[in-house]
Amino acid sequence: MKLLRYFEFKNLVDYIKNEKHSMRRRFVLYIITIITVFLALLLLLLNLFGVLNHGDRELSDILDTQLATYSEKIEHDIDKTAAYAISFSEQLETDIQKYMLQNNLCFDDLKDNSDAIYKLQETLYNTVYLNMQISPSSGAFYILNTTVNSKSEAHLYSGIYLKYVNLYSEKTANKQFTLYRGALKTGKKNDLLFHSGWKNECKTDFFEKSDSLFINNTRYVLSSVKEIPETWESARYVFVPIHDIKNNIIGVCGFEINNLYFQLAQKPADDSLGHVVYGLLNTENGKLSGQFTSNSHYVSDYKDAPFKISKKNNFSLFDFGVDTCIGKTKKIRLGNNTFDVSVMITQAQYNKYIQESRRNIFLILLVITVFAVAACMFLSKKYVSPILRKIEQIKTSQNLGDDETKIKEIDDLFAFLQEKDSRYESQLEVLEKSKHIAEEEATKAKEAYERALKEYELVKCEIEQLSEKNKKNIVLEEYEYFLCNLSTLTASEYRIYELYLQGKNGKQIAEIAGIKENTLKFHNKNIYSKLGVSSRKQLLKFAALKQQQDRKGEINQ
Amino acid sequence: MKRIIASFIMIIFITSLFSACESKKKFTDPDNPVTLTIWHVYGSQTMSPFNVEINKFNSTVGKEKGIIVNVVSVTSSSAIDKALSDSANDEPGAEKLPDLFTAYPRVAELVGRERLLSWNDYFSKEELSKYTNKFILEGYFGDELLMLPIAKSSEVFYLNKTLFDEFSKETSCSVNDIKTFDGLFKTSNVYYDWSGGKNFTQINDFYHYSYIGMQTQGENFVKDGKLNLENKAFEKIWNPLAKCAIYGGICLDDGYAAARWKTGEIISNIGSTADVLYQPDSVIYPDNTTVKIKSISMPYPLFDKDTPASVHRGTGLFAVKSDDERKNYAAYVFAKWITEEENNISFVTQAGYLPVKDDAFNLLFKTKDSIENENYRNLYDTIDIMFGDYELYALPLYERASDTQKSYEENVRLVLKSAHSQYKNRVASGEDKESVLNELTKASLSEIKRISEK
Repeated sequence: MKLLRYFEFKNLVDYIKNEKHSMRRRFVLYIITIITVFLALLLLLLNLFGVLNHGDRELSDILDTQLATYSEKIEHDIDKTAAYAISFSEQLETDIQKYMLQNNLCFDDLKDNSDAIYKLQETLYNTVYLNMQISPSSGAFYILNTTVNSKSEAHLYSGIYLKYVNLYSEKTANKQFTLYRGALKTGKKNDLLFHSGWKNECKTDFFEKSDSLFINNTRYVLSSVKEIPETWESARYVFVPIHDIKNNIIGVCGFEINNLYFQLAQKPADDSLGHVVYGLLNTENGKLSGQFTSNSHYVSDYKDAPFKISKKNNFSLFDFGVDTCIGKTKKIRLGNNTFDVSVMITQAQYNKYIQESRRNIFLILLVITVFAVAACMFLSKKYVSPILRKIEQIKTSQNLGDDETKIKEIDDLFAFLQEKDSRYESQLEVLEKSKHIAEEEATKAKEAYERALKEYELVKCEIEQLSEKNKKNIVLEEYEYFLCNLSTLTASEYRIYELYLQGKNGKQIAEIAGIKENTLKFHNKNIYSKLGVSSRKQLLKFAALKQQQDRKGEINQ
Repeated sequence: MKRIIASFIMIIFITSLFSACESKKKFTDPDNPVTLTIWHVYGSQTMSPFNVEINKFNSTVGKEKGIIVNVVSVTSSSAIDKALSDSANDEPGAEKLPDLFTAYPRVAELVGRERLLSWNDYFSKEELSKYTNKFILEGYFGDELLMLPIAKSSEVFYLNKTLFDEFSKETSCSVNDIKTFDGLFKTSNVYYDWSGGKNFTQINDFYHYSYIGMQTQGENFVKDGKLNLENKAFEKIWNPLAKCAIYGGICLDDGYAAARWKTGEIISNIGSTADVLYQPDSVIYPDNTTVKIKSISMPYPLFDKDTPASVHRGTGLFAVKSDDERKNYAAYVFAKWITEEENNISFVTQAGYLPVKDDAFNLLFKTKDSIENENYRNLYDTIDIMFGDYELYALPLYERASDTQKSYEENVRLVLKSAHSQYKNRVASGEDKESVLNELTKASLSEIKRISEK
């Protein structure tokens, strides 16, 4: 393809170089070539110095900065929630141990003992309520590895789970809350609003493997995003283990961070890019899950969408199925898991941002191009057009002197041409005059010639008549003498003899032969003497006789 | 030279044309979406069919036009009243008003009419003519349509048929008995005795009960912006209610009936058609034993066989007027979309509501047999009966209607709860049941009148 383009370009150059073009076309083609080469060079340099990718780099820097700030915030906030959860767990452990001691029970005694479980809930309710009030969360819970009915079909955990009902912001005062999980009596006793998805106890699969999460002395676990049963919500949980007096894990407690709370609490302070989505992502069982927030962008689309992340240049590409986003990710460790903090914008916004950043460069290039074209037109107007006009004037033989090009060399050239032209014209005039005279003379000569020819023809006729008539009268000896001595004539004499035969008069012969009349007379005298004639008339008579004889001889031959 | 000047003029013209296009903000732009926050009441804590529809809008028309509807809160109508009032009055800790919210018409006064968008500035007369007339009239405040109906409901009677059948087998009570309020109250008391002190039913709105009860007698429950309790008509509806509640047949606690169904504390309730969304499919006992139940819905009990009546209720969609015209226009686009026949039917049939346009209304009842969920199919059969036979009344609007309704609910519960407590104590101390009941009923009437006057 490149080769093809190279050949195409070469063909174009060859075409410009070799083909015959008008001056204007050649000029325009050269200028366009120069502009194209200049722009290509400029683009190459801009690309080399990274000016063309400026938007990409700038966006990358902004996202990096926001990611760093946001990661710190997330780490700080989750750590804070974990600290509250650890404190919550310690309070619960103290309360549980106290309750067990007071009632002379061990933890196993709680199983299938609804009364003891209810009384324990009564003891722990205030701790749960107060911790929910002070912690940055959308709900608080504790769940113990015990149940009021171990024989029930579903394996259940007993505990209390309180949830806020209406979240307008993470700081809204007078937040209403409900009992989502907990004994009916606990709800009634504390005059609680029951959640419409309320149940006595939690299914074990809701807090899947929660008691086996705390290996290697992990202080807390931040879970993946899970759907909260019987609600429209999804949430992450901060889990902290609850230990008994022998340091065995007997349950978990912690806080719920539902998607709405995450959206409200983790809303970024800086959103200079606009429509930026921030997320906390992690992988569990090969599946990505995440919570998202944004100042202005709609994030609900992503909350349940299966998505994947791939790399693209400096950026991460987030494929949500319904949307594709571009951004940055950073790995952070929260609890016992690694999470990806992400900052992203949609592909469309990315494209728009890049286009906007490149627009100025392209505008400059456009201005340069427009300027170059204008300059080309200007040059054409100022240099090519006057020359063409002059040439046209030359073609149409108009006066060249009126319109000056203001270009010294060109004006000098045309002045020189004009001068030369004038000289040629005057010469032409002279020649024309000479020609005219020559023509007149030729006409006259022709007329004289025709007259002479007529005379000659007349004379010739006469001679012929005379020769026929006077043949007998001619002295034979004289004629023979004439024939014999004809060869004795000198070249000049013979030439004059021939001119006489052509019918020229003495004046004409002198002129043609370029001799004076006296010289002619001298030649005549010699001719007469050598040929034995006494007059020109006799000379012409003998000559005509000879011609007649010569022609007869030629015919006979 | 002329050509060069002409070229420059052309370039300047084209450039300015482009910048003019750029500077003129488009109403909607997919590359620069406008976000509308919304607080709504369709779903509360369980699933939210409205959120499903909003997601559908965002991923289709919203995406195409650059409109994002962002659900910030799903709450109850009473909670939304308070939150909106706090926001409108800039109370400490209150949130900024959302761009859209669903609420009862009474909220217009709390928020301030001047802050609300008038839908009739955006909808054409032709568009508005397609809405069911009595639904849309409810949203007019003077000439301004501030509340656009998006889903309407009525009140029906829900019964836990499984537990009722157990009760019915051992008593003479049948489903036919509970078609009237008289029968309902009698049955409630029988159930109270039979179950060892459990409430039979819960009436979610005593205000609605009183309003409809008086309307059927040709009397207004609200007169001149005040409750009209000093009359025989009120006495006629109060006494049987009070008697039953004092006896123990009616649950007087606040909160959702669905939670009480779930624990088997009550086996019926009168509530919105939308309560079908929360109807549990099982009862869980304290020892975690779970019993699967079948529920049915029945028309609103009758005060009088000749005047079947109920309320038509349901919140509507309000938009807060914005200086950014794009937001106002986006609100219109969303409101129009959610009330389009197909989207509206899809939404209302998930939530137990009624569509708001005549065409959609007719289509729904023609195709109701195709609804898969039995509870919902049964509900739409019930609604069909009620829309044929019942007079459906919209609640009256007057100054401080919201506060009046709220305090009436609280007062009824307070008065009757106190009377029930006294009744139990006095009967336990050996007093005659009937005479104590009559006395406390009479006292409760005086008390409710007295408290309501304040």
